[in-house]
Amino acid sequence: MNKPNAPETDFWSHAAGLAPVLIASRDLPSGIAMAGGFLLAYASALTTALFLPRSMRGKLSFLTSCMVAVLVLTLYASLVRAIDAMLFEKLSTFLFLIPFLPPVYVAAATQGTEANRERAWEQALMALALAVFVAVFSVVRELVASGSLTLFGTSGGRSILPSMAHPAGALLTLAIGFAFARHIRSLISRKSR
Amino acid sequence: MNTKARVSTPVLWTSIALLAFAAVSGFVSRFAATRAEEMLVAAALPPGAVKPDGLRWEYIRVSPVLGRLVLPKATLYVLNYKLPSDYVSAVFTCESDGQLQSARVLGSTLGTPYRERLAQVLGALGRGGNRGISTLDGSIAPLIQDSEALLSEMEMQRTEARE
Repeated sequence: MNKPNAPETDFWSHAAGLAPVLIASRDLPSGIAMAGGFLLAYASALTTALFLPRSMRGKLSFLTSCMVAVLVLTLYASLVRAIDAMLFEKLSTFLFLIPFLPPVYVAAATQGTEANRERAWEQALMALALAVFVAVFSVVRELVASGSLTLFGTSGGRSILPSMAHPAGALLTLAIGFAFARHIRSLISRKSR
Repeated sequence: MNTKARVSTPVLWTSIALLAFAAVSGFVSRFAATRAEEMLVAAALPPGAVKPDGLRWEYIRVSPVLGRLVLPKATLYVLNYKLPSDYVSAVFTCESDGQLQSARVLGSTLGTPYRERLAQVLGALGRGGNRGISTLDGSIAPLIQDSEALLSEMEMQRTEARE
C-alpha cells in the first residue's frame, strides 16, 4: 500500500485514466503522437511539482505544475502541426485534453519532498511504460480494425473487427487488455506458490 | 498596519518564467500555422502540380470543410470527415458556379472497408464511371450529397462576395 502523500504508481489505474488518449489512438501515427504528448505533459508536470521551491508547495505547486503541462503540450501540439498538418487536424480535440487527464493531475499533485524525489524514477518509468502501452494499443487496434498499418503502407490487409475503430472499440480493447494482464498475473502467482 | 499583499520572490520568478514560456509558445504556434498552410496547399493541389505564385490557403473550419485554395479556374476544398470509425480527408474541386468537377481522398486509402468504399465513390465523382454497388453506399450517399450542397453554396457565396 502507498504511504500517505506518496504518488500513486498503479499502472492499470493510470491506463484507465488515459481513456480519451486511447480512444484517439486509432492508428499508429495517432498512437505515437498521443503517447508523445502524454509523456511530455506528465514529465513536465512531475518535474515542476518535484523541484519547485519549498515556499510554493501545496495548491500553488499543483497549479504551477498544471500550467507548465498545458504550456508544454501547446508547444508539442505546434510541433505536431508543423510536422503533419493533417495529423494535427485529426487529433487536435484530443491532444489538448491530455494535461487534464487524471495521471497528469496525479503527477502535478506530487509533493516535492526528498522521499518523493527519490521515488521519482518509478513514476518516470511508469509514464514511459504508459506511453509504450498507448503506441502498442494503437497498433493492435489498427491491425484488428483494418488489417493493415497505414504508417508502413501494408497492403492486402483484411479487417477482422471494423468496430474496433469506433470509440467503444478502444474501451473493449482496454477491457480485453485488463483481463489478459490479470490472467497472466494469476498464472505467475500460481506458479510461484 | 501594512495591508499590502506581498509576492514572494519564487512566485514572481515562476510567473515571469511562465509568461516567457507562453510567449515562446505563441511564436512557435505562429510558425507551425505557416508550415501547416504550406502543407495543406501541397496536399490540396493535384499530385505533381506546380504551385502557382501568390496562392493562399484560406481556413473555413465549418464542419466538415477545413479550408479552401482558390485557383484561377477552380477552387479546391479540403474536407475532413470525422466518422465514428474513421477520419477521412478529401479534396473537392469546384468550378466557379459551384459545380463539382472531381474529388479524391487524401493520403492512404487503406483502412476500414468504409474508408476504402468512400475513396472509390469519391474517385468516381464527376467522372460518371461505373463504381459498382456496395452495402455501404446507403451510409455514404448522404455524406456526399451534403458535402456537394454545402460546397456549392460556399462557392456561390464566394463568387458573389468577389463580384
